[in-house]
Amino acid sequence: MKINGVHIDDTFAEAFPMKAVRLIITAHNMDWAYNAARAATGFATSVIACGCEAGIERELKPGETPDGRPGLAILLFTMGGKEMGKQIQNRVGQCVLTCPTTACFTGMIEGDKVPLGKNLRFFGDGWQISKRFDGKRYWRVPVMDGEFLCEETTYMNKGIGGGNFLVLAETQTQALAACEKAIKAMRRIPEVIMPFPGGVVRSGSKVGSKYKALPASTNDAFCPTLKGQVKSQLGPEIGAVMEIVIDGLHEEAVNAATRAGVLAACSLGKKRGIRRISAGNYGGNLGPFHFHLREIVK
Amino acid sequence: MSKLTLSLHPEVNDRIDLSGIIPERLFGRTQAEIGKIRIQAGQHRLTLGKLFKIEGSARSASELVLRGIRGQADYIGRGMGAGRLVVHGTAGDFLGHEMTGGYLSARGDAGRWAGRDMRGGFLEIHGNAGDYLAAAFPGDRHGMREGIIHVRGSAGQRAGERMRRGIVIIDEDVENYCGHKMLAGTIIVQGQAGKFTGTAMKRGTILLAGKPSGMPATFNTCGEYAPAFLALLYRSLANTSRHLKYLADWPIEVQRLAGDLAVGGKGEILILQAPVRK
Repeated sequence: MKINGVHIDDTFAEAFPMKAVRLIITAHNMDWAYNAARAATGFATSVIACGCEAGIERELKPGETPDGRPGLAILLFTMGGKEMGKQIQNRVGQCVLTCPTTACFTGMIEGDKVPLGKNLRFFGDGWQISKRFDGKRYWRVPVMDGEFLCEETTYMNKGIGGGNFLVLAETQTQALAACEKAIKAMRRIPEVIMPFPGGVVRSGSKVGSKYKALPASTNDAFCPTLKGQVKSQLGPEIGAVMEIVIDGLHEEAVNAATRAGVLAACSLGKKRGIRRISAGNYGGNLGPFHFHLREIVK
Repeated sequence: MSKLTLSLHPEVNDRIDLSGIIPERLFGRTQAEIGKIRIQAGQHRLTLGKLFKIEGSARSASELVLRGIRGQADYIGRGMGAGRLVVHGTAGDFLGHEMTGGYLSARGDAGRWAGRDMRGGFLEIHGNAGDYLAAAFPGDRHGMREGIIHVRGSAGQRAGERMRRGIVIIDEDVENYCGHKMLAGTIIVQGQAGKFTGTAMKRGTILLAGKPSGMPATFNTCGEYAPAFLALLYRSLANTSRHLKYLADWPIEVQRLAGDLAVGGKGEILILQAPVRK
């Protein structure tokens, strides 16, 4: 199968069930909402060492936010519910509460309850004020610029982590250009995030390592500089590989994002050095979600 | 919308106790069954059939309507948990007592203690409310505990006294001691608030469209700011009732006065800094 001269491998991405939470961050203007959201979703590329995977889902117009101010929806993914509570408390406490003019609300209306402002309220040192309406409790925490308003609880639901595809190009510059185009298209898809820097990973990993302490190590089969040393998956024409990892709230969202990304990357075509699209998996035995590239893009 | 209408006979002058005459208890019964329900009328226990003219099918009704009430009917909507109850005339005392849910609308005035021990639902009074709106009855620890009360007219003395939770909106004036000993919750007054507003309040919020008639010395100013929660509150209330739509345009810039410092000072009186119109 080829799209615009780009070969689509007959393979699939293997993804895993995760816990997902959506939060809404509002602020005086979109710049300050971004400042808080970028901080809250920073250092959240992989659960392997960051505790969670997080990213900005989309911008929200004033009419879409609870307090009528500009805002952003962010998504957080963890492997378990306990870790989610910890991540929310740390990230909202250190990155949203601290950011001027912000407020924080739940972005989901059902699911398992997870504390949001429930513990953060204690920062108010007894001066915090509870307000309850519409069946929800909000906390007003006095801070130096006025008040930090935060919903007491948020909701956690099932999510999917680890959807992915690989862009194989002749040069690093060409691979990057294709990934940038793919990410631009994928950011228009709701209910997904691409948690890595700029949405792109250059250090795809395999399970295990020759060093016993490491659970994962470089995906040598896709490293172009090791083509002559390992059982490489790369032909002589491939000079750089980049991966886009997708976390989503459900299979359809990951499917839609994968499709948008692959088609955007392929739009540059063979003429601009994009040669193959592939995907990462572990043989299909570890993750219950399989995203077959050819089925998704046909 | 199908209605079950109970019209009070004009010759009934004794006070009557309408406890339990609520939608969830009447709907699904036959007119004959409803007519046999006994209530206290003065010193006697009389049947509804003797006191009211009963019209409409209770089997298919979605709204209970009381007509001809002239201030002698107490405990209207007592314990109501769901459905719609509309009162035409002047409701007596204890309107919406122990209400936990549903929509109760008094299309005229209401007597004292409206919303006593209310725990949920929406109580709307199109006219004026008497004294002790949402307040604690002697012997009760708390006043209103949850829900929303909207008075489209004015309210008497001690509105929201020892109120525990919930929201009270008064479109016109409120007399003295509004929010006295308030424990929590929110009171919004669009007209003039009387003297001693918020005295001995422990927590809670009293939002005023203008300065009250007298400000207790035990409230300290905390400056002016725009609390974000007001935008949420306005939006929530505006979506609750068409008669509260006007709140969607209200400003959020307020002067904050913290008090009552004599009892801890965790309450607040917020005074809007821009004029509002209904």
